[in-house]
Amino acid sequence: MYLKRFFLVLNLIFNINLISQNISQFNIFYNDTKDPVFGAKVLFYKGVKIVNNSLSDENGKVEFNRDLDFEYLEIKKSGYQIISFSKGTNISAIYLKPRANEIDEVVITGQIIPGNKYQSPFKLKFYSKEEIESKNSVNLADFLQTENNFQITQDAVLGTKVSLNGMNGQDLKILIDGIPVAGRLNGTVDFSQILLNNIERIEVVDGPLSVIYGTNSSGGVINLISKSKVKEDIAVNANLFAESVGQINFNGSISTNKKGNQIRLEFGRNVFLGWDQFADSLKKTIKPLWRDEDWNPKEQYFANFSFYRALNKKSKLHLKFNGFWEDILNKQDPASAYSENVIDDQYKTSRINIGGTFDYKINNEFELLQSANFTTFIRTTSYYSQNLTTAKRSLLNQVDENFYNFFYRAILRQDAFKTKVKVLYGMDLNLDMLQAQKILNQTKALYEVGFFSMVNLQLNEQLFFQPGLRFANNSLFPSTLAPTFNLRYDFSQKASARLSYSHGYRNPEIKELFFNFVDNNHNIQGNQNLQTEENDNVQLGFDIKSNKEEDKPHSYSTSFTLSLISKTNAIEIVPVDVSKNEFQYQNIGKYNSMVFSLDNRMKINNIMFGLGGNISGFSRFYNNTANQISQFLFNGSVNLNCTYTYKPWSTKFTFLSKFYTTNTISVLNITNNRVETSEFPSYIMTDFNASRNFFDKKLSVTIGVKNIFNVKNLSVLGYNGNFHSAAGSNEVNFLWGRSIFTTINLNLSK
Amino acid sequence: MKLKYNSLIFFILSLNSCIKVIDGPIDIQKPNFTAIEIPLTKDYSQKVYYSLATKSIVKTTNTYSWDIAFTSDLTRKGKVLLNYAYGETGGKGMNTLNTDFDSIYTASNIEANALKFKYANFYDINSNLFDNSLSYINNELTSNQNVFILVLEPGRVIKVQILQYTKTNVVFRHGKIDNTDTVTVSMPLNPNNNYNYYSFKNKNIVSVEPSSNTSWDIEFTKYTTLLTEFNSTRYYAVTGAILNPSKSLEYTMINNINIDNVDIAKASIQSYKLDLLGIGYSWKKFSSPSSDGFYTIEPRTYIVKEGPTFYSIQFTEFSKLIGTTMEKGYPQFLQNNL
Repeated sequence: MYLKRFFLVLNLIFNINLISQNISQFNIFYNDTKDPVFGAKVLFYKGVKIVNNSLSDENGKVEFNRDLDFEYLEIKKSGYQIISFSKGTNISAIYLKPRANEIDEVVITGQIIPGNKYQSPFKLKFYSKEEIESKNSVNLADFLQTENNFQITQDAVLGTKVSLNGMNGQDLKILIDGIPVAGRLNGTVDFSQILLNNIERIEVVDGPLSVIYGTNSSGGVINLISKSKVKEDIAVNANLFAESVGQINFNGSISTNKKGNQIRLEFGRNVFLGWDQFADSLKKTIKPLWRDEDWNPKEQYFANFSFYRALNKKSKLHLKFNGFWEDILNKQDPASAYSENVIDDQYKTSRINIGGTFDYKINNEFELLQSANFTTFIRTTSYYSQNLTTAKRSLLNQVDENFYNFFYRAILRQDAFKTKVKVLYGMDLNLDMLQAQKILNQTKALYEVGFFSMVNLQLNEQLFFQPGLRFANNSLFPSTLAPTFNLRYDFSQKASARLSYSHGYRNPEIKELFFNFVDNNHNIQGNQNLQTEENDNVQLGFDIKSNKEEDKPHSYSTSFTLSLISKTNAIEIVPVDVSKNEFQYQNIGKYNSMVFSLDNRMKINNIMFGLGGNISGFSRFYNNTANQISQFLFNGSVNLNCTYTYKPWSTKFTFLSKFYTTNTISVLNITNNRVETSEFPSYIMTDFNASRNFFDKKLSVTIGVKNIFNVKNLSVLGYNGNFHSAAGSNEVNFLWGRSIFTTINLNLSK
Repeated sequence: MKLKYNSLIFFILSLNSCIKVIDGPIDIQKPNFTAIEIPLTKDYSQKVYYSLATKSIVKTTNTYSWDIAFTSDLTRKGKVLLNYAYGETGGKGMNTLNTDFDSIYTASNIEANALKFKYANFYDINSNLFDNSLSYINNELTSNQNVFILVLEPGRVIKVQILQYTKTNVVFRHGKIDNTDTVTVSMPLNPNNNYNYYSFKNKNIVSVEPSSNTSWDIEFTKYTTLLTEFNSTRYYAVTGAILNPSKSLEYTMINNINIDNVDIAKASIQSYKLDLLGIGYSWKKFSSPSSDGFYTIEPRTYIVKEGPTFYSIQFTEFSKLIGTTMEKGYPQFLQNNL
């Protein structure tokens, strides 16, 4: 603090000196930390015309000629309130306050320079801490359930899968603080393992971003930003979540900020007792002992550690440890009423991440960002013989799957303000190694090295052009080029249009190539002949938003996007022998989709209102089949989210609803080599909750109901080529119906 | 105040750590009926003949010890069988419509005619390969002496020609399709057996059935049948129980009932059917594609009626824990003679 004051006085002295040289200056600081603001834009206006501009340096200093002919100036920094004052105002220090309005957010995912999402040529979604908390979602899958363009499917063993715009989990890159989440089951990350306790905000790039993030990002990128910054000297948080379906979660954290060392430690335990749709009814009357459940009991532990420190004005260090342990017990029914022994399977997962980031500001123009991370993902499937009469069990067989990943990324970003050119240069290295009993030689490894660059050119005041290119070299597949071209045109401060083209790719993963996944419910074979999936994506978008500078109590934003995606060599898991329940990864052919998406958000005083929807069409062309379903098959969804704060009660009410139309998809039936259709019926998910703070926000209590309309399971009509059944109409375990929940949150800080 | 918060945190932590899924023990009360285990063994390599009256295994034979079988009952449909344990890929053949045994056939001949292949199961009369070549007129059976190409199992292809077929004897010759390794066999037919068995591989007569076809009631075996459970109807190897065709055994089944709730009064009012495959394989349900061999058993009781006598059966297991592996192929059931 003394140092800052010293510099401030020094600056003022220097200022006088400059004034004498006909130069004026002032300094800009962050209001909360009092750190100098680097890169704030200063626009000098005469009437509505900008006559000059400048940029604050690393000390927050802005200089301008006193003789400059202007009437007033504006200071802009993304995420902070705009400050303006007239020429002649005697001011030497400016303090920027963060914007409270949620419609204008600063995003970092896929950006050359962090900025407002409306300045990006990509379609970006931003979910604030408040939005995450208002949904009371335990994990990422829960959170995305009621979000536009997302579709959730469940598997009792492989977990929860998410698709975005019809692009499956294999095409989605999940990042935590920019680091890819390693450890995929059946090609996709289990979204129910991505817990939100430690998440500050979520950013979603709704479109391909292979140019920066490489493989597995041709469908989009979900970046979760964890809580790392600590403002208080010491803060303690405890959170209890209980849901009537049999879920009880606890997590607690302690964080401290001493002498700039920001440390956060968090731990938690989630328990799910299991659920079966007929647990209390039919099954019990037929079979005296019903152990198998639609949703297996599950226990999760996690521990997170974060250390953050600004080493000096130029460099910042962030170190992280994340540990996650999960135990799923898949209980089986006894073979008959008189069976004493059953074979249960148990799935234990541990995911350990150790990593960090180091940011170094080379000068006013260049900044180097480096991140490195090591992940171990271990999944053990154990088969136990359990004697029901003694409750003793003995291990029969154990299958281990050990996955190791090392990831390194270096990004050099250049913000040449004078030429209005922003450039990003980067490289990343990804090393994967899988050890498992059922892959060739029990160990397989691959690496990918990528070099990429993206340029943001401001061609004029309204038109931005952002091309990019990635070159990737993979140890098992031919080198790949992934170009992208993006245009954004600002009609005004309120309206803009986006047009982008991207070429994305996804290299088959080790498991898809070599792994055989066999358990009680699955028999999935790898395929060494798989080729790289490639896709072309064209996206056209229009954004309209209210003018932020007016700082009105009302604000709105509207975003319309049309996405066209064409994927070749699409990799899918298809049945190769239904009688053995055997599936294999194959390049099934070509996949086209078109998605019309509309998102509206509005804030009126204490009401936040979101209304969105999409119409999605998909067509698949399978190789060497007896027939084709060439036309687009359409489905849609409408989501409505509303939050209202009733100030006299200090109570916030949240309503979330999403309606899914009937969803018809084409599926290759290997047994008769014909393309057939599966149809998922329409359904609606609706949640409601109310939360209230007590004792000066030290204690908050939320009660609510999830799945108000009690949707439990859906009957799939037509061919069902999933892992659990062979044919016909059958029920898919999808949702566990209506439940009530409560959350108690305790926050102590000083 | 601080104490209150700390207490609350402690309370929440304690509450959460107490929650755990508890599994058993459970009291399973098994009725005091005879428990039978049928050792088809791993890969179902044995077939077992079982007597309901004596509640005992009459004979156990290697499933794959034979290739072709002939009945001495010339009136029976399905007079000639091929080993029915090989599933879709074996136990089938093609009528060449050619009586010249010396004709040479190639693998491409066979592949080109793959769609003409038929199975030869005694319980599947619509698909019996040989019946159309055997005419039963005036108590005599005449063979048209067509040559048959047989795929006994993948990679084992032969040709066979039935030269003469009487109630007591059958004469046939067989050899490789390139007309080598030809043998002519004269095989006596035992009228006390349902079928008489021969191995092309070992070129010998094989004893498969018990010596008397009235001494057993159920043949537990792997057999091939037409399944409609997949998206396309197909022949498939299943494992189950086949009733003895030489005895007038009728059966019925009652779902969702345990054997101790089936008494003579209940058995007497059921309607019974003559169906050799009535018990069949469907009392179990395939539950796992993995090697742990886990099957679930349908909650039902079967009743087999032989004249005035009723036998009730409830299957309890299909797998058995051997060492650290749950091996399938060990059907277990409770039996009660009502």
